[in-house]
Amino acid sequence: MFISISNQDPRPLYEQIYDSIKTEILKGKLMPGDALPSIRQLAQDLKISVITIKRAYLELEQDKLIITRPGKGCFVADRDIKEITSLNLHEIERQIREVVSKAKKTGVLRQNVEQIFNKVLEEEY
Amino acid sequence: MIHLVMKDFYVNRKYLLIAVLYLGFALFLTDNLAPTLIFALAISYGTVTRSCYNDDKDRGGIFLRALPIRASTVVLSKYLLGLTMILMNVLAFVLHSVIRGQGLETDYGNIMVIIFTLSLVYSVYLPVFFKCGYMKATSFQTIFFIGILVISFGFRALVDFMKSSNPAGGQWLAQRVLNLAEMLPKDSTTLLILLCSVALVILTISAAISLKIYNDSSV
Amino acid sequence: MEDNILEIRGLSKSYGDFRLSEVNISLTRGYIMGFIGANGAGKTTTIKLIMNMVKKDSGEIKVFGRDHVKDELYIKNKVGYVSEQPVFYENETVAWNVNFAKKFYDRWDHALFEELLIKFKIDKFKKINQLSKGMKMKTALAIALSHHPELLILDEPTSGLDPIVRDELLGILMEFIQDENKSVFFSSHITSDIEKIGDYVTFIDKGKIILSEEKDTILEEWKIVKGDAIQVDNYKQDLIGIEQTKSYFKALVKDFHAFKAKYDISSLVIEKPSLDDILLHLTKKGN
Repeated sequence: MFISISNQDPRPLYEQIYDSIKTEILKGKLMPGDALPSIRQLAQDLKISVITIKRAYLELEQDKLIITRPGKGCFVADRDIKEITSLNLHEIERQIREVVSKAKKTGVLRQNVEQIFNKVLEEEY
Repeated sequence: MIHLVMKDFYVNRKYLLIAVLYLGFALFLTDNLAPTLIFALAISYGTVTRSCYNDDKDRGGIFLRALPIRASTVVLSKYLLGLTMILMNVLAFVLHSVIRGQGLETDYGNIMVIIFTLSLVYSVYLPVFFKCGYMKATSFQTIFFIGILVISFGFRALVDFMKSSNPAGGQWLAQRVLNLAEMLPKDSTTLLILLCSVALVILTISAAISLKIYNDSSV
Repeated sequence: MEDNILEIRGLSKSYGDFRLSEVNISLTRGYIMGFIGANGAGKTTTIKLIMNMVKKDSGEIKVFGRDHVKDELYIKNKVGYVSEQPVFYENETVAWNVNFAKKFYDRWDHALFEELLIKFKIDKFKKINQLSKGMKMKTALAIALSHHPELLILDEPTSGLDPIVRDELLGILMEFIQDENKSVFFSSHITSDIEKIGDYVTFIDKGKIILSEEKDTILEEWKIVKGDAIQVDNYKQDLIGIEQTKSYFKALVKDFHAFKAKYDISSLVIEKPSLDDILLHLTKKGN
């Protein structure tokens, strides 16, 4: 499991961890039933505060991405393909909205945005 | 507590070794005991002050205070060290008498001096050390010894005064002192026991004072 | 289990010029608390008061739920303490010092100590005065860890150490905390160490606690705000520890969410603060 955190990143640390783990789950690198490292172990490996990890894990659990089995640890929750796809779509929509919103704020014209968007689609798909 | 005393002996081992060897030679190779006695007193006193120095230097007080040791143990270990020194010296002189085949009586005087002087000196030094630390205690000790010397000369003068033919002052005082001396047991052994008791009382009072000081102190 | 592993209430102590007043600190089991302050702010005094090496004037200190004076022996058996610049019998060897110290502990684990010596690469037959500063610190830590303490109290453990040794030390502390019954309380003026591994941070200045909070919360809710000097008066009310030159100002903001809602921040530069920034701005004169 790869967790990318950086001091340069403006997001709070717990959010970075949350995002990292969520990405791994959505990409399928972490499968349902896989065990996550213990909170304290992860804190030690990353050399960051236990509380930070706890918070990230708590949010992941609240978002039903992981479950905690008392005495056993934290595991990736079972989910079906539909749910994963829908989560992915949510994530994409969120990111696109961010970009478009930024474009609008900085005064970029709609047609220019559309142009760029189509260009990228052409290149990637 | 025994660990602390052992520690004190160990840390001072070089000093003690030389001193004990010298004492051994002096005791058994000469007949003149007076300088040997003074030497024995000096190293006994020195052992205790050196052990205080070792504990106090380089902020050593912190080392002991961080350990789970009772304050009373720390304080009493110094007194135990003192008592050990007294005992060792007494034994050395007793051994000397026994080996020389002379009666114990010859050394009684020396033994009494050892017990009395060392008890007094430890009882005064240790509370000062616990209160002020090694440096200040050393300065105090210098003044104290000078004071003792002055008193000794003063005592000498007093004795001369008592011997003098001046009736009003001298004779009266001499009579008082003689009366006091009459009250003392003639028997050396009883005298010795009395002396030990007095010494023990002085040491106990000193220990109580040291304990109170140490308990209220900071490192 | 008692509530908090360390509980300090209303602690006060006066020494000549310096005064520690009404210090309150709480630490739960399983976490690391960093104690930050400038030199002379009162960190060492507070720690010595906990260890009963200095007598308090007033207040209450409880360790493992027990009074720090009445149950001093019980507490010292379960606390691993390392003083600022560790103290030993300098002319004797590491081995001798340890053989002496270990006699006083109930739960001394000599096998663990030997393991730690190897791990820290300490030669136990060396005299203490032949060891470097880092080595002495590691020796003190090895002794502190070998009697299986539940709480580590360290006074400036990383000062004067090179970055490699410092990193090793932080690693050891994190290893210690893997057991969620144990806690660490350490003071430092090297705030980057606390930023790395601290769960909680307590700031002290001139004998008073000025902030005590979860480290993450502090680093998220507080921000450094920079802007044109002309604008400073617009925001002055909510700025802490303003640093000002002719052309720009820099200050700390406590609750950034509220600040953002209240003001137009488009002309300001917002940055994540470091613990150093927070200490600097909180202790600036005029606060």
